[in-house]
Amino acid sequence: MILLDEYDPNNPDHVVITFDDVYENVYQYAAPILKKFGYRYELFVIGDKIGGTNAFDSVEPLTTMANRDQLKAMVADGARLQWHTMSHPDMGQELTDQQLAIELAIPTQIKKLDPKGFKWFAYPYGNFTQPAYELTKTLFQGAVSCIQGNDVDPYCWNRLTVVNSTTFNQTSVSVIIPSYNYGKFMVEAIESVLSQTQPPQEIIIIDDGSTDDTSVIAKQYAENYPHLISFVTREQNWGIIKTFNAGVRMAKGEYVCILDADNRYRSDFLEKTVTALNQHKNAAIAYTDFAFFGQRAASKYELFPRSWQNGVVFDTFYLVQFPDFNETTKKMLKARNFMHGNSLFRKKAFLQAGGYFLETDKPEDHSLFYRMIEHGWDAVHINAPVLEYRQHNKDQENDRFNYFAQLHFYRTNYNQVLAEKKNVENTLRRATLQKTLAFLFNYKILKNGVKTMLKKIKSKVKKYVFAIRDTSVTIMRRIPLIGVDYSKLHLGCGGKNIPGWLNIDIDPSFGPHVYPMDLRQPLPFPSESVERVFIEHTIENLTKAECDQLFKELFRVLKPGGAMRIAISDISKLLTAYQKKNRRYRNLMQTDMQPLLTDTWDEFLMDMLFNWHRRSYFTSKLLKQFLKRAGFQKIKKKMHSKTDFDFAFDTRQLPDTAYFEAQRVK
Amino acid sequence: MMEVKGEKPAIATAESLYELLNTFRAKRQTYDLIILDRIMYTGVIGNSLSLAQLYFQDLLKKDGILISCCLETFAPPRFPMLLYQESFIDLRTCHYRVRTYLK
Repeated sequence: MILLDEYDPNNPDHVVITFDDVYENVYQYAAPILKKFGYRYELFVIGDKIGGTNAFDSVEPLTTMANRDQLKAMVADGARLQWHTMSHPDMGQELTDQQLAIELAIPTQIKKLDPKGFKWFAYPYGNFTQPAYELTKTLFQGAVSCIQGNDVDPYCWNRLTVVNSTTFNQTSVSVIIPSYNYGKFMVEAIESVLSQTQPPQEIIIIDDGSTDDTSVIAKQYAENYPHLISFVTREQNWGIIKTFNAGVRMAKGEYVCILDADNRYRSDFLEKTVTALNQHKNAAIAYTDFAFFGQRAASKYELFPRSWQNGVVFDTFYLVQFPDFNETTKKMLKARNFMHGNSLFRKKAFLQAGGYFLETDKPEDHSLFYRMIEHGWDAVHINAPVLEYRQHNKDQENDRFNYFAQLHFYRTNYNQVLAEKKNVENTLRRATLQKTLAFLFNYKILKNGVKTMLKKIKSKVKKYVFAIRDTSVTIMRRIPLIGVDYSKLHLGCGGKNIPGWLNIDIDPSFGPHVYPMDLRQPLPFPSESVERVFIEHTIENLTKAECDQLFKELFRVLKPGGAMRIAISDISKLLTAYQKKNRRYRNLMQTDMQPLLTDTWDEFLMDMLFNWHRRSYFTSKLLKQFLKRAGFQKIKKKMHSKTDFDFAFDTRQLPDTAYFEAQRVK
Repeated sequence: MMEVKGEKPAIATAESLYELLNTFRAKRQTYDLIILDRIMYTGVIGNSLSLAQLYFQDLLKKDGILISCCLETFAPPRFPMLLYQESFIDLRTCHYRVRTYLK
């Protein structure tokens, strides 16, 4: 940011800020911000209007002009006063020589407001005639115009009119947030990036094989900010080196930073670091001071040299101030890092240095930054703690703060989904099944998230009330069957998706393939409309009466000639094995049902009866009776994977499973 | 009216936020604690978020505390200060986000 004297239109880095007329609101609104950034600027004043109003300019809303004291105050803060005529005439109109002379002459009293100023001139409305231009050349060092300007003649430099909607080309910045099971902190990290005073152009969230709610949170943010946030998920944990390298290579920004998912940027982090890299063309890294917080902050703080410790704020933030980058500290960098891993760096330098390496003697960020410096780059230090660096124990990692942040995330998104739900309900007949199911899946996850967070918060905060206002059941019953192929039903599907079949389960959170339905209710299909029914280890979750009703319903909806394959856990097989103390059998069960591991046969039996949460137990004989009672015929016991029809979906065989096929003959 | 450690809070009235802030600035005083209760909305500060943030920070003493309370859904960007605490309060049917910053 320079003044007009130094301006070179061929230099793309040169910018001059100018104001015409100089309203009072320039003093009130713009001057403090310009002062904050240390920017100098040019003020083109109208001699007769100083301290008056802009009534002469009927296009603009009426407002007051800056007075002499305000002009002087702005000059003291780095502004320069320049001339914009005495009364603001349109100089594109023919003016007499005398009129021109009066308009361009600067009274001594006004000149005194800024003895170093009044070298440059701005044409009112951007217009000028040849005589006006010629006279200007004799009186001023140069002039500017927003209409007739060009980049060649300093007596009519071009100007760009800037309004609220104007944007400038700016360096693009990518922020990468990798997370491995840091879902609990990630909302704070993402929100801190979204709150930047100078926002990035891209945020990439990478779920590095997490088993917590990282992907739920990241996916939701990516949906809420589709043009800003992208989400990448890895099924397996790649580790930080591979993940960081992949993230930076994926980033489109010239400048990149990696924010650990448990840290937060202060809202001016990017503003300060981007400005620093823009100003220091040979600097590859903009590193900052940081503020430790969290349970281990005090002990970590003590590990830093005394000269780097910069005080403790409110017993919470432990400020660490790093040294500036110079020849002395450059030599020190090999042995001791003073640039944290969440610093902003140039992608170009990253590629030159070869990215992150796994080294035994240096952490990955230290190694990368050291190699960048070895390639001839410099670094620049931002003397402000604009990174909030969390130090936590694994077993103490949750506190009220991040519970609230997570609750905020889930609740905001849940409320959005609730609002969306109304739309979905209103347009149910037009909504595609896929869209409806995807919505329900989202809804369930977010609702569960709110519930979980409320439960955790209630253990910390006595008075906190937030009611879950709805349930998914009401929606489930309203899903239309328009356009849905229900000739083949897979009941109680859970996570198992059979393509081409209607996969039904009470819990839509198993995935978007699930068509939610409560089998305890009458089935919503017309009579004699279904050809095949596949049901595997599901009826054990119903009471005997509910099973009776379900079989009758299934018989009703099956077409004559239609068939059903059903798999149950045959309790008689288990009891026989118990009686005979068949160790091989028990081992088989335990292998397949790992969470139910027990030490003895008796514990296993107790587990089976009381902890498997079954509502009914069947034997093969009992099941046949139920099926007969419902009207089924040709009931046959089958082996695993053996079928008289086209059922080829049996899950891996459990020792107690019994398969049956039955038909509706008429 | 709230009193902090027995001290009476500074009081000023004005037609606009900027007039109000300039009144405080003219007093050449800075303050230990500033509480902004539903102030950082565009209805109050227009599009001048950066300027409003700058003004309030200028009015705050070193090591001072700034508390900002806004509706959760309309919460403005963070102040460029260390975020000491963030919590959420339900009042009647509205959810408020309360952020406490340290200068």
